[in-house]
This record gives sequence, structure tokens and C-alpha cells, in this order.
Amino acid sequence: MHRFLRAYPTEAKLLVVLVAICTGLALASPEFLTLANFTSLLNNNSVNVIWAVGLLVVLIAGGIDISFAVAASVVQYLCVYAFAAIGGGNWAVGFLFAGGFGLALGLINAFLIHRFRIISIVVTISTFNAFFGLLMFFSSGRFLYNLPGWWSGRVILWEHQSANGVWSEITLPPLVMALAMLATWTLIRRTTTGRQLYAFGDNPEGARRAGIPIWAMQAIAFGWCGMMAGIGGLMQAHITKEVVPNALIGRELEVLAAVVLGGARLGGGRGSVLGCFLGVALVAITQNGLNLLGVSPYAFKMVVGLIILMAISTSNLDPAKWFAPRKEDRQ
Amino acid sequence: MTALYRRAVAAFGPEVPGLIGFLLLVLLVFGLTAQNFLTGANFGSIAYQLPELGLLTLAMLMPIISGGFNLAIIYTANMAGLTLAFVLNQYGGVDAGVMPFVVGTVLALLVGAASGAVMGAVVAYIGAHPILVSLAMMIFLRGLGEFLTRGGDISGFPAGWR
Repeated sequence: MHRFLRAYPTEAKLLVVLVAICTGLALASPEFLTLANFTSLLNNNSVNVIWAVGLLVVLIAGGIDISFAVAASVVQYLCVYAFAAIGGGNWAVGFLFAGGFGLALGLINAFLIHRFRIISIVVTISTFNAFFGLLMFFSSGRFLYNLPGWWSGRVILWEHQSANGVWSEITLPPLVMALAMLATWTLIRRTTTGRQLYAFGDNPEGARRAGIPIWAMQAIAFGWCGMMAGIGGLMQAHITKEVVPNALIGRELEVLAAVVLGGARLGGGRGSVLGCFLGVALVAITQNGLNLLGVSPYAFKMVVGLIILMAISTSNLDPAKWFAPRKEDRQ
Repeated sequence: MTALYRRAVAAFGPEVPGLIGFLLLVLLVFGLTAQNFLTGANFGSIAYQLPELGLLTLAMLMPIISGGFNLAIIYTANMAGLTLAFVLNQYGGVDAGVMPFVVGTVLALLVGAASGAVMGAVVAYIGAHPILVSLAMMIFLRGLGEFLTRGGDISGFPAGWR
């Protein structure tokens, strides 16, 4: 217990808060603790988690990426035209293309940051505007509905009808989310590159002197974020069955807030996949709970903002101290 | 020429002469290529649109000078605007006199200063990162604006103010 708290202080605190909120909601609303509510939460928030784990790698490496949600929109348009050009495609081609386009857009960020030594928030604000401007110019703001059938068709992996006739189902995005989480966890926890990312984020100059290639770190971090952005974009279009140029704008800050709630630190060197998942879950469950309690939807953003503000304000308190072994136990 | 450049650098800092040069270049290029660019009407329109951006730039300047960042300035400005609009609507709407305008302006400035002061206090005393604090404040203020107006707009101001 103490070791977990010391290694993951924010994640542990978040878990406690989540359990408290869930208990409260389960008592207050009979709808909350149902299978259908749980699966719909999972289906609707997996895209945010996919983006969150991508952004996590950038935050661990000491950077920040504002442009990934717009990059996801760009990837959606590129994918529509690419699939039309090759005459259809399928899921394997789809993931390859979406991941590849996203990776390329992420590498543009990495190149600008490394080559010209500009801080990442300035570069990604610029590429945010450049991507969006180019997207608006080339798409003329058109919505696209004519997605290939495999892309827009629902993929139901598991379904279940409960006694009162309500269907619960798990669709494709949660599976992709799980794979993205597993891949990111493997990258940052189980490879040398991952350790180097943490080292580089915590102390870039020290990492450079230890012989870690800086350009590779930037390329991996922003490339990974771009790839996840692309895959998230593919999933988002799969859910909404349409591609809209400005649909994803603003999502980057919500995802950033969720990742930071989950214990990642601006400035690098800290953060975990579990934290990302819990951060997105906190925001999602809060909104879900407000909805079930019948609170006006106009108040959702205000409450969510207040919760994030409170969470960030209290994030420098250290719960590990409360559970620390007493002095006489240590001998 | 180099003496002039050096004096300009000494007076305004190293970035400004380059920016002025770039501005002159833009003026020259557009002046030569677009017929109605160098006209009074065009510059009148620019002068009408830009003060807002200029004021917001000044708002962002202070946090950046002190090593911070403020993502929430747009929504802070929005809340201040809403405050003034509420006061004007409450005291007469189209027929509001000078006094509601003065009171509304003072309240609007106070609202802006208060939201900034809350962020500043959190950054200074708790040590949270300015980007995060202002991001959370941005989400909160945007939500507060949506909540108070129900996403609609507020209209009906005195004629002199429009």
C-alpha cells in the first residue's frame, strides 16, 4: 500500500475520488450502476483514452502537444481520399493509413522542435493553426458522409440483453483503446526507449550527456502522439459515421486536462497509462453522473472545470505521508 | 544605417526592428499587389478590428513576462463582457443611462481581476503549473458563461454604446 502510494501518488488519490463518486452516484441514481450505462461510457470515451495515451508519451518526454486533435481531423480527410484512391480498403489498411498519416504529422512537430530549438507549446500552437488552415482551405469546410462501408458500419464485439430488455454492447473502439493502452504501457515501461523517454523528460541535459539521442526522443514522443491521434481520428469517424473539419477542435485541451489529472506532469518525467485511463474516467463519469442526476447540461462544463481546478490545486498534497510507516516500525 | 539599427535595438530590444521590417515588407507587398489595400477605408476597418486583439495581447504579456502562461484570457474577457451586459440589461437595457454603464464597467474589471487573482494565488501558493491552472480556469469560465446565458446571446444595449 505504502509503496503503491509513493510510486503513484496521483493515481491512488484519483482512484479514491473515483470510488467515492461512483458510490455516491450508485446510491443517488438507479441508472448509474447498470451494465448498459457502463458499456456506453466505455464506447463513448475510448477515443479520449486513445488520444490521452498518445499525449502521455509527449508529456513524459517533457513536451506538450496542442495540435493532435486537429491532426486527427486532417488524418480523417486524408484517409477518406486515400481509401477512395485505392478503391475501398479494409480495417488493416485503415489502421495502417491512419497511423501512418498521424505519425507523419507528429514527425513534422518533432522536426520543428528539434531542428529549430523552439519550445513545443509554441510549435504545436503554430501547427494547430497551420493544420486547421490547410484543412479548411483544401476541404472548403465540406462535411463528408460517403465513408466506405467497413469504416462506418458498426462492429459489435459483445452484446447482452438484460432482463428488462435493455441491450448492452461493446463495439470496436474499446478494443482499440485496450490495445493502444497495452502498446503504450509496453513502450514506456518495458523498453529501454521508454526509460530513456522518462530520463529525457526529467532532465534533458543529463540525458544528452548520458548519450541518449535527443532527436530520436522527440521523434518517438511526437510520432507516437501523432499515430495515436490518427487512430483516434479513425475511431471517431467510425463512431459518428461522418467527417467534419472542426468537430475535434477543443478536444485537445479536455484530453490534456484528463492526462494531467492522471498524474502526468508538465515538465516531464512522470505519468502512467493507468493515470490516463483514470483521468478520462473521472471527467466522463462526472458528466455522466450530472446527466443522470438531472442537472442542466449547460452546467456540465462549469462543474467539470471546477473539479479539474480543485484536482490541480490539491495535486501538490502528498497522501503518501499519511500512510507512511511510523518511525518505530522502520527499524 | 547600422548606427540607426543599433539605436533601435537599444531602444526597443532585439526583436522589434525585425518585426518592423517584416511589417513594412507586408505593407509593401500588399500595397503593390492589392489595389484597395492602401486606402483609408481599409485601414479604418483594421483599426476598428484590432484594438480588441491588442488589449488581449497586453493581458497575455504580464503572465508571460513573469514566467507563466494564461490560456483563460479569452473566457475571462468573455465573463467581463457578460458582467457589463447583465448590468446594462438589469438597469434599463436600451434606455440604460451613464450610471449603470460606469457600475457595469467597474464590476467587469473586478470580475476579470478576480478570476486572474484566483489563478495567481493557486500558482503562487500551491505551486501548480500555470498552464494547467489557466486551462482548468478556462474550462470553468467557458462553462460558467454557457450556464449563465444558456448558450444564447445578450442584446439590447444603449444606442451610444453600439
